[in-house]
Amino acid sequence: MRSAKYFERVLTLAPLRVDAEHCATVYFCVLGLSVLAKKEINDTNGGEAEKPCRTGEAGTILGNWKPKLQQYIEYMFTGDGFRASSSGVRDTELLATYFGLAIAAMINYEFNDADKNNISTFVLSCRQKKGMYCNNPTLFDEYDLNSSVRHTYAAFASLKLLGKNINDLESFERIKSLQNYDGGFGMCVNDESHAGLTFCALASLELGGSLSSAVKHKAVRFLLNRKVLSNGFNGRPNKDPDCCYSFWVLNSLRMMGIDISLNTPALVDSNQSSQTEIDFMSSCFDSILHAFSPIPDSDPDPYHTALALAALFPESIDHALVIL
Amino acid sequence: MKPWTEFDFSDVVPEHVAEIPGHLAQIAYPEHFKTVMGLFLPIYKAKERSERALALTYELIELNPAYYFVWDFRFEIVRAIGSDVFDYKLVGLTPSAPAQPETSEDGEFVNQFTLSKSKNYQIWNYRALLLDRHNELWYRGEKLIVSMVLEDDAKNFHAWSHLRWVITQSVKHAPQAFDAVQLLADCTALLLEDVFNNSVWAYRFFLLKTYPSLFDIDEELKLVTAHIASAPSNESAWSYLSGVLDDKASSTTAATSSAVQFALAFQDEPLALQFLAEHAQENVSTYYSLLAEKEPFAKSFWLAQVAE
Repeated sequence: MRSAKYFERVLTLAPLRVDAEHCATVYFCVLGLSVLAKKEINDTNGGEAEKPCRTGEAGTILGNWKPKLQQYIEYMFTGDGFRASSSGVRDTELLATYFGLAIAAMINYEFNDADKNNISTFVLSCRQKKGMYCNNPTLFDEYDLNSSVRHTYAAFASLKLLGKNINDLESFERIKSLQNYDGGFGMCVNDESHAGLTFCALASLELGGSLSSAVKHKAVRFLLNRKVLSNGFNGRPNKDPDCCYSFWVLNSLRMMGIDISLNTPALVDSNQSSQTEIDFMSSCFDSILHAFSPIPDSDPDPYHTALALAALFPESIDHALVIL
Repeated sequence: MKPWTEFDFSDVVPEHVAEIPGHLAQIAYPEHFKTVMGLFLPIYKAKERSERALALTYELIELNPAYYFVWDFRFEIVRAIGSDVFDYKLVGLTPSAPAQPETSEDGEFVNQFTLSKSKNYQIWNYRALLLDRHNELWYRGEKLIVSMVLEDDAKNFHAWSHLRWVITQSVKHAPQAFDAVQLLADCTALLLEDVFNNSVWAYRFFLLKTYPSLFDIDEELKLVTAHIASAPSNESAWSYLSGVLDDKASSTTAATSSAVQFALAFQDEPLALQFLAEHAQENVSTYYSLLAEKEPFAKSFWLAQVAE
């Protein structure tokens, strides 16, 4: 699949707006490439029906970029985590730390024990009073504003990558208290449910071995109802679909043992035009850039492209990169 | 607001904006950006909380509003250099705004930014940091700006979250800031405007939980069933129905029986079947079987529920 070239282009030259979340952008490029690389291997080894498209392209690109990714990790590493921006201040941030650790895991980059302990100390220092984590513990947090279940997921996933235990009962209880009447999770108690936050909450509980069947049962109904079109999922009830939610929803369901397959749309090979129904994922695919946009006729980006590919080819997800 | 170019930076040694080794996802920084970031970095390191530092944050936010550290530093500066900038003002936003103290430069910038970039994470966080917890006017001002954002984007997740946060804070620190009965009445009106707006339903539930004296299960049942009858495929309304019935503090078994009777009339609708499967006393496995037929993509899950 030609999306590998798209990721390679982003890894070569990125626009200015990427600067504030540089680590995240590189992470999504690596995630997308790794899905494609694994798919190439799966297709070559076992895929009978599917014709392997340009076998090895993603794998080759990923291999070629490994030395640069290694240099990148060393450059963005602050001593106790990762910084988010390439040009800006060198403060360690939690989300960037998770993305940095995942990139490192992907290319088998090993931190020494002292570094691992420093990172782990930083991650734990992001924990706020009520058991949720924030992006940067030095910030003002008089109202417990900067902490969220997104950051809590990043903290737990980082600890998992560092081989540390996740055993924070207060935090698990706090996350459970975010589950709403519709079964989804929001930012705070009695907030509106959101599929992305629901993934973060469920995955955090799962990482802590604390995902009960009662919580699961309620969440499944919310997640199943997110399907609104063929292969189209929304993030909240009665909203339009966005292709990143195909990933957040399907991956949440898969984590809970409920496998719902997408009908892999014809976009994989753009010469095929045998689709009979309008497929949402196909309509978000830009066949010139070979990348996905959030909704049809908008600008593609690495985040939506990587998550769309992960949603379409779940068997090709590297679980060093998507931590459950 | 005085632009950064009008300040003297001759005492500052600018930092070189570094290129990433190996040029991975290299950014072709515009010269202007390099100049501003180059001045910002040493000033940030020195924790210089000054007017000129504030002007630099303004310029960087214009260039790229997604830097958390710029917003956070901005707040440190605003908090340090005094109440004339820190005072919160809403005057000038709308003729219907309640009487407020005069507008400050920072307040004006924050409000204009909120209205023009309401999907930016950082601005809502910044507003929340600025909140003067014991000032009722401030709470009402926040509600006003949220309603202005919602006029253009009625489902803006950040704006709704902010409103809930503001109300939660007011209950603790300024209980006279809002009239709970009026908030619920406004919410009822919003549902009539768009019964499919899930944010409004979630907000309604939040209001009932925040002000428990408002929670009358019979009234809620009457309202939600009327809305379902007019639009039976509305997921938000069905979920809300479950929500109020499942609330142990306020619901009754009589209310649940009456809602189940109501739902029996909508068995063509998967949402009604989901509701019945979870709330009816009888025929539960039938509802799950029907769901398996109607929602083939989730067939195995629904059939597994039949077996349980």
